Amino acid sequence: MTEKDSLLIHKIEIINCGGFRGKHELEFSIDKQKNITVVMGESGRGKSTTFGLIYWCLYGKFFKPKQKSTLIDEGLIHKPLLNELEVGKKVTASVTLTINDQNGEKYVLTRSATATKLREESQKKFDEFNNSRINSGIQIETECKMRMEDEREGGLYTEREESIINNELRPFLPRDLSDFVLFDGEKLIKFQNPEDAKEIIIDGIQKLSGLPIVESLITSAEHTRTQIRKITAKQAGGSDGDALARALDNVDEEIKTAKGKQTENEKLRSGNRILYNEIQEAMNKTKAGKDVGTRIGVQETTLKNLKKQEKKHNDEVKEFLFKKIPELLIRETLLNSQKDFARLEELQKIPPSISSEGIDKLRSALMCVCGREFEKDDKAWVELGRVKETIIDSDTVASISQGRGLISQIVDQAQPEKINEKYNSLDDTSTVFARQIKLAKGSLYDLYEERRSLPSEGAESYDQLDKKSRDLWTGLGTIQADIEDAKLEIEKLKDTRNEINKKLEDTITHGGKHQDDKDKITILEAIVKFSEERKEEITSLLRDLTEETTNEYFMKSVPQKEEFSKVEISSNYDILALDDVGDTKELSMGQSHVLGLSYVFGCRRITEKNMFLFIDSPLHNISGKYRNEVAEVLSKYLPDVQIILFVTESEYLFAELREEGEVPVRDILRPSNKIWKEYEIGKCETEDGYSTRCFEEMK
Amino acid sequence: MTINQIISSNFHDADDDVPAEILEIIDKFFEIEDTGTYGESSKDKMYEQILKNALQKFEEAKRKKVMTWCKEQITND
Repeated sequence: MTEKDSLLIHKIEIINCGGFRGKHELEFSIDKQKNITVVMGESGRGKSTTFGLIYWCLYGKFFKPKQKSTLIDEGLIHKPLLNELEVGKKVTASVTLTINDQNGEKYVLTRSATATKLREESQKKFDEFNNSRINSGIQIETECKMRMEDEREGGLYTEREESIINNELRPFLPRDLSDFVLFDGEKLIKFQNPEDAKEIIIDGIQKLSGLPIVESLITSAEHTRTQIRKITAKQAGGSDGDALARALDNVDEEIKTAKGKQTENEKLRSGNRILYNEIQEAMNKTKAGKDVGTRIGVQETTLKNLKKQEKKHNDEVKEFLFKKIPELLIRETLLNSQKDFARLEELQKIPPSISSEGIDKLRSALMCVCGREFEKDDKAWVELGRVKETIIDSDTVASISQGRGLISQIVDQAQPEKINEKYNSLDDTSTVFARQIKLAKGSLYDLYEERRSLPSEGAESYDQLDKKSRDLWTGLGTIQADIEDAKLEIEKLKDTRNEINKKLEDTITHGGKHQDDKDKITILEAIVKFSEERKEEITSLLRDLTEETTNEYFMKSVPQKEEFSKVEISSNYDILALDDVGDTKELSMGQSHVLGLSYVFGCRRITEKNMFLFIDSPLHNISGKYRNEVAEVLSKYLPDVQIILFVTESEYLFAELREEGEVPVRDILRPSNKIWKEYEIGKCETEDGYSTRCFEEMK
Repeated sequence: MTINQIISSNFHDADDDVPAEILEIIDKFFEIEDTGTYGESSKDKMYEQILKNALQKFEEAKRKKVMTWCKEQITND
């Protein structure tokens, strides 16, 4: 891999596209150490729009092109701006990408679309430049320009010729390999089932190898061969040759018609499938509309209950602390008192234990009690006074002794380790509650967002959509049958063509002339056969290479790697993870995502280009610990690659805490020191007070 | 030309017996396909022109060698 093959997207500037009104900028990491940039936003906030805009700017096509029959009005240009457009006025939407190589800024590519309202219309039409339905009175034109290096003059100059721009960018960023630089993470789920992943694997092999160009060469060579054969046969075989050439023309025409029918039906099938999915989505929204309120209610109750439980727990913590903190404080005080007593005793500032001398004095004093009352100045009175002092002293000593015993008992009973242990356990529970509440709030937020995205009033009802969907489904069956019929017809016609070709060949041979034309036909025939062999060889080579590189990443990154022996791509393109005895092993959700990512990483290795990698929704469809596993892979196995992740708030910031040790994805990526910046797509207001999506850096 | 390296090396390193002249013709065909702008009839004309030029250039021995390889290629399974 050369340094030249390494390009990074440094910045994107979006003006009036999708949900973004006005100008919005986003900068991505070009730091090799901190190579990950996170763009976070809830569903419908504009993550996929931003991802799609990068694709549109680079390739001039839409990442997910819609069909003419689409129901969707949201397209490239900010919809309210199109709606507000007055007759004779224009509005321009644009995306600018600043693309760097190892020396810094290399290209500044801008693609724009300008809408002009020509007249007032009440109808809507599908507009392929806006990828949506728009008012029929609006016309949209696109433009592309790029500032790039002038090797002779130095500095950057501007190029507006799209073909020159394409020729400049294509060696670095071929559209065929776009999947390996702009990857739709929703495809990862397909790796759980080899049958679902097959399409991705075949498509990847085709794109990696560039096989379509070989197929195109074969078709052209076959066509040219037939044309030469027909002309030569006419010349060599007189009326026979002419008749055969005409018969061949007719068969070719029939094949062309059948192929046209097939292509048309395939397009129709593809369009109807997209429309079917759109209707399903709309139905889900409508159906969801029926119960989203209920689900919000359930979630609100869950949150309320969690808060109630948290409050109860907090009360328990408070009670514990009120009870135990004084104990701990008393213990601390008493420990100090013990020290003070010891010190005072040492200094003889507190009396010793009751001595025998004291007891004698007491006895003698008692014995001196002889029936008369003592008088104040009496010697015995003085003596008794001394006894009294002794008694007091001895009581004090006893009290002190008793007091010290009590102190020791309290100190021992307090057991600070146990208090700490209990406190830590309570603290852990508090953390769990806090996380659960955060998560419940996240889910509730999702539901609110879902409710906001429900079709507006006046949209088609669930039943209407259901009928449309059923009709489409039935229609799809008929279309599929037509496609199969066309395929059969083409095969039959091809056989007929081969027979005519054979006769033509004989006519030419018997004609005995036209050696050059015969040689041309032979060369073309040989080239077709040779190219077909190469095609098979390349396919097999690419399958092996894809298997090898996918296996390499998978085996070092898959969770519970000891359960696997290797990844295999079978002859019919099933991608399988095998256990140690060579049996296919069922993958967990996390493992299948890791397999998908390993496939992407592996294919990138085959392309020998170290380009940026944008992944939309890599954590979609998976939860809990699986997200953690995918995050580990993303942070560890593409150390020098510029990675931009588009994730939702709940995927990134919250752990579901279903299993022990599960943490938010952010807690895995941040300590890996790979995160350069995190952005959130939020809602803002433009200077003139309009609502817009915007990028905000997260602190 | 921006033909994928995998394709290019697979055609060129496939077999020592493939005449260089055939590989040259294939490369020229690839160039036409790579532009992606020509229609069927234009491609027919260009393909034929390439073959015509190649045949004109061949000396007798070379032509014989190329045609032998082509016939073997067609008949080999």
